[in-house]
Amino acid sequence: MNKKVMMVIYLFVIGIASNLTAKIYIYIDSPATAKFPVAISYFKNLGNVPDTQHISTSLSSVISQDLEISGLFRLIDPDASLEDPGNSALTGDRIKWRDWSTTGAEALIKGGFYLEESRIMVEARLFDVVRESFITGKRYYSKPDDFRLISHKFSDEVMYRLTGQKGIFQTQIAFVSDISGKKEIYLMDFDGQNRVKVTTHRSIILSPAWSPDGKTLIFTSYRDGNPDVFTRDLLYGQERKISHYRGLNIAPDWSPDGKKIVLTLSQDDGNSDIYIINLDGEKISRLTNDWANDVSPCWSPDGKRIAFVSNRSGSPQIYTMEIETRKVRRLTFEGKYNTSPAWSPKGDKIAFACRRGNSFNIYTINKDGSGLNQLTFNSGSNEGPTWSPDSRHIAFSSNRSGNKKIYIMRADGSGERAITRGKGNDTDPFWSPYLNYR
Amino acid sequence: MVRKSLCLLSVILFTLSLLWLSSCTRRMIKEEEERIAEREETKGLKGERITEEELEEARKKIAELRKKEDIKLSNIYFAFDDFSLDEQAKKTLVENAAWIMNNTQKKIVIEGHCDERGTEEYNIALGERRSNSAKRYLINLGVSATQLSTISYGEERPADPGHSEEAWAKNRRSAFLIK
Repeated sequence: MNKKVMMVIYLFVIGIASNLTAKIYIYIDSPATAKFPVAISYFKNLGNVPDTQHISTSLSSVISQDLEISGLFRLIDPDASLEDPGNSALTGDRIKWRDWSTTGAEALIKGGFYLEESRIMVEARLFDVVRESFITGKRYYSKPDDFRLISHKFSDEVMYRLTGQKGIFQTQIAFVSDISGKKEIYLMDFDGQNRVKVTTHRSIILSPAWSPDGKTLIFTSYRDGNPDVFTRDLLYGQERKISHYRGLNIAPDWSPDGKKIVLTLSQDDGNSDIYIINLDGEKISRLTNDWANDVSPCWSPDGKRIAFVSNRSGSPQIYTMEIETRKVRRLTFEGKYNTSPAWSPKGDKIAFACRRGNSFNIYTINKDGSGLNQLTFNSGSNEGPTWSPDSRHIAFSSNRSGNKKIYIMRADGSGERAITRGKGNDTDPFWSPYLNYR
Repeated sequence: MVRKSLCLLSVILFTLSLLWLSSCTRRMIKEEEERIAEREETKGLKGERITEEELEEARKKIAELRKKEDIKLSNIYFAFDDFSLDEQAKKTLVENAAWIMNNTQKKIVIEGHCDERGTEEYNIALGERRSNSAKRYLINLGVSATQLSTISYGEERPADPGHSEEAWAKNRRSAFLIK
């Protein structure tokens, strides 16, 4: 983990973007944009060391998959081009544009790499096929094993240049897995690769949540015989037990400014209520005070509200509260069991899980209670939604293929895909913020 | 002409009133659903309480049981999303109370557990309510509070790893462990 984070990638912008007012090719927020056709050519080995690890195809296939997941692109098969792959040009002045425009591609990604003993250099360029011009180019130096991260970095660059908005391809997902026999926290890239085990409590760990700066996780652990709340610094691995009141200390979430924690405690009267504490575990305020179970609080991105679960009406439902006035509003009325609220980073929607019969499905609802929208259908039990930092994707856990595994989909429910496989149950996904240190 | 437009107007008004009525009905249905739900919960809460007659009878029973050799600690079981004590659970708690009162040097941990069907975090809160229901009832019966502590594991430690109604019924429990 540390090595990965500390890894330095030197990067140079090749040339200066020719026009200062960058052209937007794809308008993300317009409702029915046609998918933007893009071709990604195989990366060319520019050095003398043979490409035994198939880095050439890996680089282009990781970028293809990233763009595919975004849902904004139509990927053109590079074999449809008339260009001779053995003799392809990497610079704009030498590309035969006709070879690519006939495929229908409006943008073209080309690149090359060379390998040294413990080093890889990758350069990648993005071209506008219609205007026959260069859009952007980057050169990366790193260890050969880092070719996936290099690809994600360039995918983010492509996303930014074509849409004007940040991509999520370098983000990660924290989750809980019982693969070791005990529930521990793991991290992985948003596409399920590079899985790393983070905790070794050999107990029960639940509900990881990422700090807004992406550097610390907060979670619940039974390590000391009681459900207590811990933080763990992801760079240095230090852990601190910050909340260990008598009874429950569960379901922590960070405030958007990273200074406070909202969580569920049961200390005062043996039933669950929602409190705000500081990072030393001292209580700042008590938000609910009733006989019902109030759990799973999450903060709105403006920091003024929380969404939470309460059974005050007899069955678990989603509520929101304005923190300053303590004004509470019930959000969900359909269904008798609605839990796991997650507020979208954009602030407009709340995702949650609704139980019907013996299975759960993921829904979203507007923060004012309108616009209920079911996202998963007829495919096992789907729980624990979490938003990507651009609010365009949702990760969740599902048992549709047997064990519980982590899936991602776009925020409209399209493009579902499993990102974890194999043995063990993977649950409690929490999508990282943008990780600027990667 | 005038008649025609009057007719049209009345049709429009009628449609509007229908729309208004239907929106009203929808609101009323929602409120009703909530009120029923509230009543259900009140019923659930009563499970913890204990009447004077019940108490007197239970104390007699405990005195009887305490003289017996073969009393033991047993689990109690709950309905789905419920932490109220049914008659069987109360009967078991009376026996557990006798055991605990005979073993005043022992400390007891009351665990709260749920079946796998709910949401993890909500289930931990529910399990806490289950262990507290049992704890309060035991204290009402005369058990010393200093002998009792609670912990909830939610759905994390099922007694039966199966996914059937039968397994779930076994997992919705409070267990009594000697510390």
